[in-house]
Amino acid sequence: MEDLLLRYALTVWAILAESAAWVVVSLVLGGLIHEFLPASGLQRLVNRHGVAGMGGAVALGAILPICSCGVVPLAISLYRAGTRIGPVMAFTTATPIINPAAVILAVGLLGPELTASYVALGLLLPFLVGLAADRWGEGPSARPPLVVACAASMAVPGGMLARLARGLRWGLLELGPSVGFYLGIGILLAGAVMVAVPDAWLEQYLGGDALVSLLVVAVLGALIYVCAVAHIPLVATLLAAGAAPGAAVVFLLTGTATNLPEIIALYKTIGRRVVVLYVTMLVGLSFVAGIAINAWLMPGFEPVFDPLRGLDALEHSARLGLAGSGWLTLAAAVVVGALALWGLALRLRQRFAPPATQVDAGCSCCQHDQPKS
Amino acid sequence: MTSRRGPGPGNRRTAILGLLALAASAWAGTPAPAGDAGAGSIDAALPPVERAQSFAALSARLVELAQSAKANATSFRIDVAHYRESLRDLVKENDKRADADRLPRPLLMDLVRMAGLLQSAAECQTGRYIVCPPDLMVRLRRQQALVEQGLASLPVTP
Repeated sequence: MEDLLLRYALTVWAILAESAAWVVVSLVLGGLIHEFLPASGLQRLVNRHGVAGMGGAVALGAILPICSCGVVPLAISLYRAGTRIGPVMAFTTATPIINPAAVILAVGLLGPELTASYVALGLLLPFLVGLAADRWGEGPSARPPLVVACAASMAVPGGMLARLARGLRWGLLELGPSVGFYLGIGILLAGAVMVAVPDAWLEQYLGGDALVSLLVVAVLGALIYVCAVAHIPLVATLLAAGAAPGAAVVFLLTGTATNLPEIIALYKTIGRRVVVLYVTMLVGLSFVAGIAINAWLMPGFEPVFDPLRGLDALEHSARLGLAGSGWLTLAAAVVVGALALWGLALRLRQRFAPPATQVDAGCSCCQHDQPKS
Repeated sequence: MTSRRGPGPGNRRTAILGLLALAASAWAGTPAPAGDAGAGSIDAALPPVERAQSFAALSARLVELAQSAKANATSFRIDVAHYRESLRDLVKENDKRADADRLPRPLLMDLVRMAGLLQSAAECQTGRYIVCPPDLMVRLRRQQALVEQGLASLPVTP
């Protein structure tokens, strides 16, 4: 029992530590987006219909090295700032799947065929998710409001510094508690799933080329927290241990693209319809891609790579990595933990306060939080 | 109520000097301290099999350190970088040897995968220590077992 609790604590801590810095960065950027994006040219560019707008969102996502938890504040801010749901979801999907360090590492450790599949699908899937979200993602109801701390801000026009301060205040003090609360719940649940799933399961299902194996890997990957750069060496060892190539790519795609914390946070802040569509499409399309990859490379697939190229890839990815920021990681984890507790306190206050003093409803200072589009 | 006081001039000066020293050492490329796992123990003069064995010994120590959650992150990272670069030398030299004297390719690939996992472990820094998630620890231990298996299957040198 003690061992299980220790495993759980370590898993929860690992997810929090890995994602917290990006969550904080995204909250800051999200605040700036909320304040500056609606009137900018970038907004018009991203909101452009057709391939250009969606392609721009996917390309932007593919160069940012943000994990699937870290992208949540950015996604919410873009959405709240009036960006169309399609580009928002395309960006949200592309950002954690692909980044330059992950691609370099994949070339070195997974070999050319799997890397080509991973990159092609990492660009195509977000594009398709974006198109589907544009078409079916939003219901007729208005964009859901956030539960926010009312004392934080009033939409008063001002100079650049005032606007910066207002943006940061929105990002950290208004969006922060809400996102922190949902991410916190998601991280606790994802930790439980990761501890509950025996290690042998993953190897067993990754090793099979049956449809059930692919489906299990796709669903499991969508629930647990997988970071592209950190998990590519892990997937390389699983491949060497006999994992099917299709299953490995499916695990990388659904694993990196989404996880429980992200699903819960987006579900509560952007809406259930688009999140159901997003997860269903990710799992479904990855599953189909896995079948296609297995048909292409199996039987007889051997994960062969050049040892020297593998070492070069490791060196390059280490250079691109953000290692050396242990204290920042710790500080960011404390910030996200505090935001989660603040979010919890706000919800408790809302639940137990008399109706007239509820935080969310009837609070004039929160009107700016309604959608701008 | 207590009034909040700022740092005194002495403290401020110490902080500024500390920052300057830090910046200067980074600028000058001050050599980092040696790692905890005895990374220097990989002797390039050793024959290939013994060298491969010393890689396995180093990775075993690094896995133990990662497991302990008490490994100093900077030292750990230095050891992992040393492992990677020494492995690069070994692979390069191995390619130049006659077929009969070469280390088998699967063993080299296992050593490279171990380098990848160790690098992932090196990224798991909390404060000044390395704290790895359980799934990574499982893979590290299995990979270590694979490396040792590969070494055990090599013919013993007289």
